[in-house]
Amino acid sequence: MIRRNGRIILLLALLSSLTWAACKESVTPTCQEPTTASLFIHCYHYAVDTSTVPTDTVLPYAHFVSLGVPVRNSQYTAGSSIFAISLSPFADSCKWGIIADSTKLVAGIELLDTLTFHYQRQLNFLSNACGYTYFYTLDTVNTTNHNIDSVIITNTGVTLNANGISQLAVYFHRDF
Amino acid sequence: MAYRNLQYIFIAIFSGLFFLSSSTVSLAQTGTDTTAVQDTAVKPKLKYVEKSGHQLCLAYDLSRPLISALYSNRQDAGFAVDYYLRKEVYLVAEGGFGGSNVDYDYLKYSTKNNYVTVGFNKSIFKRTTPKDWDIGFVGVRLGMADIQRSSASYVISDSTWSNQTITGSLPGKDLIGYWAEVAGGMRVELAKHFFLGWTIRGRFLLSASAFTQLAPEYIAGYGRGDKNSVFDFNFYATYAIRWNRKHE
Repeated sequence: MIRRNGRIILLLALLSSLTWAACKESVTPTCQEPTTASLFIHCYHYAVDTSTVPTDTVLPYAHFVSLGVPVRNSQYTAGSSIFAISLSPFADSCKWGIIADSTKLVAGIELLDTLTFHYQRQLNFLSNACGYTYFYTLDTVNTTNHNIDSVIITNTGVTLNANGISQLAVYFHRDF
Repeated sequence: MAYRNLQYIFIAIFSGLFFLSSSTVSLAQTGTDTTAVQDTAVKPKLKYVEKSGHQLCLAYDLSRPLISALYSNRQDAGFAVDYYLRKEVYLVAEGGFGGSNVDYDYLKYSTKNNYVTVGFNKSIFKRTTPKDWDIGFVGVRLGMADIQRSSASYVISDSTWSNQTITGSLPGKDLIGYWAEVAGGMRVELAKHFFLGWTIRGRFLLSASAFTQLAPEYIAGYGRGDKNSVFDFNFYATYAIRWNRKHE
């Protein structure tokens, strides 16, 4: 019944299949997604010593330093209260230095607070093009107290999910 | 973008085929009851008599070697067998084998697999004569693949913490993949007993949980193992074996 136009239909189908195959990924896919899990830090302070309500704290010129080998610096030129850092996949602990306001550095004196992270690493498959990465589960976070009053783990999971959930709340002294 | 547009085109074709199929069925089933109230005679039910003979088709997928030539890291071969049951329903079995070699900067391994699918097709075109075997069809399948994955080596780097890299390996593993398919297509008899035909398919992975450790990049018979749904296109050359049906 359809033989009369069948040859035309088949030819169109063959051409469509060739177009389809050609439009498919004809080159080796490359990794197009983030591969490093991020830990989000949210900064707070108490307006007065007797206050029980923390306030978002904008660090005017924050300076983050990863204390690994080699040392890496991340200097922020605009104020923010939320920062993203990474954890070391090479060990079960790592250290980050935080300077709340790098414009207040006094020659020879650096008010650097050090955050020490202890965590467990989990190997996680991303995709064939991106391979594997580590996700983390936070155990403990310790801090020095130059400008930082205390830290609280608000979410133990550190993954590639960057939907605004922070894992660490850092409380600064009122007059940092 | 062109790839995405082609997907939408084939979705539209699928939808049209299913609409035609449902319209054909609904037209066959609807009717106006004109029986008069006072006519209580029971009409004898006509027994369906299949007028077409038996047909067994053997098919080879011509598109697989073509696609294997385009993708040097994949190999694929496919075959199909279908048998005409009755009332324009065909039982279908498909199978094949293939494999892939993954050689990225951060991940290397290889796979090979066999696969089989079973299901049926329903012709949505009416025959002009009992010997008219040209069909346009819709169908469903269930598929299974037996996958052997080699050991995999991976590399993780993070320049924030070190200029070195982390290397590791995963042991080889045997996996089983399952999927469901919806299919549509045409087959035209260009010479006696010889057909050419095409099929478009939507496949839906049912065993995604088995691939969480490492999803095979390519599964012959399904497609990309890291996708929960895929589209595919086949082009078949078919030979039909026919014999007469014994009528009671």
